[in-house]
Amino acid sequence: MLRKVITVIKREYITRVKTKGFVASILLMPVMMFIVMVLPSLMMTLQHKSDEIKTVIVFDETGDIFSKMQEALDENPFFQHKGKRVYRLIEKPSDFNGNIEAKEQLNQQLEAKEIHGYIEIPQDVFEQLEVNYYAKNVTNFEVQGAFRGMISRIVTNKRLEDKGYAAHEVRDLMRRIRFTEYAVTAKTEKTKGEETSKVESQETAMVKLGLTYVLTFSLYLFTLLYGASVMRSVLEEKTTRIVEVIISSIQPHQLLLGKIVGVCLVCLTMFLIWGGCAVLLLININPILGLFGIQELPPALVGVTDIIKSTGASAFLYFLIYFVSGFFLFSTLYAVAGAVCNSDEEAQQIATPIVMTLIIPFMLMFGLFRAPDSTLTIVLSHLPLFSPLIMFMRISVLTPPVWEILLNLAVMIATILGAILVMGKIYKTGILMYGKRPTIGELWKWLRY
Amino acid sequence: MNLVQIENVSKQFGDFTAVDNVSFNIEKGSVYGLLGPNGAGKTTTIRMMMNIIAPDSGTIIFDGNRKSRDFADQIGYLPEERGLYRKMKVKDVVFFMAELRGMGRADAFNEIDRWLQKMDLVEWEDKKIEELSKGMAQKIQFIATVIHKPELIILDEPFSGLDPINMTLLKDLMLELNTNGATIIFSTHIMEQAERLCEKICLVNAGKIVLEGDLREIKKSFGRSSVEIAYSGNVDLIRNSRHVESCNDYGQYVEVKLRAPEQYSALLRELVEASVDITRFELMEPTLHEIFVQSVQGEGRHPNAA
Repeated sequence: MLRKVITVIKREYITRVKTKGFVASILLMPVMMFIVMVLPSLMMTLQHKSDEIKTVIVFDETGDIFSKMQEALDENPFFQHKGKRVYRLIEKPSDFNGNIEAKEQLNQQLEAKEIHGYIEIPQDVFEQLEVNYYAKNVTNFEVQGAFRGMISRIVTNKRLEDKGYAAHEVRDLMRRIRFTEYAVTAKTEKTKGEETSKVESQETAMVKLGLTYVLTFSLYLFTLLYGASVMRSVLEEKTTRIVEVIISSIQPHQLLLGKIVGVCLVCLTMFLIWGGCAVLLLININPILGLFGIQELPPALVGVTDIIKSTGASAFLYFLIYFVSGFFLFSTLYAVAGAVCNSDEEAQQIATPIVMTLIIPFMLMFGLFRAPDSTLTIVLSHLPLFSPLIMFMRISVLTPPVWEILLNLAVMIATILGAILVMGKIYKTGILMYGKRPTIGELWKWLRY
Repeated sequence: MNLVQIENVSKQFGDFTAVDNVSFNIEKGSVYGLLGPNGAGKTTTIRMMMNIIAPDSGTIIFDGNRKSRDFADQIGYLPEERGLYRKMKVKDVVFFMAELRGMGRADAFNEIDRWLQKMDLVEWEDKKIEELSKGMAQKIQFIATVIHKPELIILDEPFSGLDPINMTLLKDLMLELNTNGATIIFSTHIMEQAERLCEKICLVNAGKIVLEGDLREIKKSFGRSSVEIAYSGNVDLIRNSRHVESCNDYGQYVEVKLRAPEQYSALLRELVEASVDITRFELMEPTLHEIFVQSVQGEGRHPNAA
């Protein structure tokens, strides 16, 4: 009999994997992730690092600031690339104000990309503290930030000196404190035979949060997509009457099991391919960045990759465990929804409560992130229908004790077996019933056949 | 030897009795027709044989002592409403069906090649089912039904929706499979098909068996109550005869239904005495269609009927 289950698994698996859609989703998902997460920071670095010289025109009505800006250009590494200046400042006569023609001409130069931008420093800048920056692109915060900081410093220094303070002394006195955050988790780790509390920094926590978000979203998305796929498969067999032919050779619960396992393996294949790609990417991050003309990883990303390297493996493992358990539970429900319906539209309608049960924990996620140890979170994480998402989230954010995870998994497994047993009965009757959709009363009767 | 023994099988759906205490045996190697109007309980009977639904009472035994669960892989079943996985390729679908019934890979692919060649569908083997015409899809489904060389082939309304060419093809295939040893059960409400193919029939109506047994004997027992007469002269003479129940004038000849089977000689004597110029006077066997209509409508129900 196992052979027949394997036959069903093979069919469900191969008919899904051997489609263009599957290959496309395998390829598209990482591309989308890359676009959303990595590309923006990469683009900033790219722009920054090119050695093309950018011209910025300065209208300095004070006649004082421009020369100080020229000096400051060498102080900030932002304006340099491989030890050379990449920004050139040009001073224009200060009768700019009101000269519409001159402004028009500059705008044309901007349009033609002859200049990168122009800065207008009014006479009363020391009182009003107003400086204007004009450029094609004002969303590149790094460039604006660099100029703002530079001019602000010059202006502040001048103001301080006018009042008789020594600027560098004031600056030294005004230095901010360093405020570092660490999250102390309950979990203790044995290092060299001693138990030490695990301490992680705020940065680690943020990256873990991001990782958890992405993985929880995947849990939700793929359970939803492929659960519905199980439902359509059940419905196809029912409406084409194939099930009548099959069911004499294989028991209904075996057919159901074969289907769920087959589709589950499709998802696991996808995850393992992506996981494998992520590992390869992390190991070869520098050569890959080299392809984009980047010599080394931006410092912000170094931390991220380190954290993913250290926590990614266990997160991925828990992800797989909770995906499989959640998928078995939900696709059983989906299969039953398919079995009691006669058309796609009808099934979509009946599947709505299932989708809702999946959406609720996902919607709650952000609230629960903030209070991963609250009673509400703990209770929700042990409700079998919510557990796949919420327990997974809890584990990634604030790992509960091992016994709690094991208990949770035991409850999940028991629920899945119960669901297959009970839902299997409805499935068995439903796939051979045509016509009107059964009422709750009739479903209850099917359960007791 | 009986391949299938159906004993006192009943099935109810709510208040509706679909099959009412039905018993019959199907001999190994025979072609057996399950006949009856729509809603007579043919499909329900077949589904119980296939173990798709369980009978409320009664037993169905295969091959002497085997339950349908153990025998299922030796059955090829074609349900009334057709369908295959639309997105799958022809040979993958057939292979799936073969493997599900326990056929080995190499054996299955040999058989698939043989059948596709036989049906002239080789160039379609890598096409998806949804790309096929309806007729082709039906052929593929027939192949999928018999690919695992079943001992018993159950076909539910196999001829419905077929064009005359495919109908003939299917009939020939059924007879060929039968010659090679397969037992065939098929249900139909088209009597001409059953008449040509079946050795034995079971006629059901409203869940009950109306007639069961050897087709030739059933026909014999119904007697010869219809006569075809070719003659020249006035048809009114025949129409008005006291032996004649009804009379159908086809121009070249008249088809006469007698009040009782044994009255043909009296009619002939009457016509000879009236000096009618008779060129043909032929006693006709009742067609299955007539037996069917008669039995189902309950009129002239034969005492031999089960």
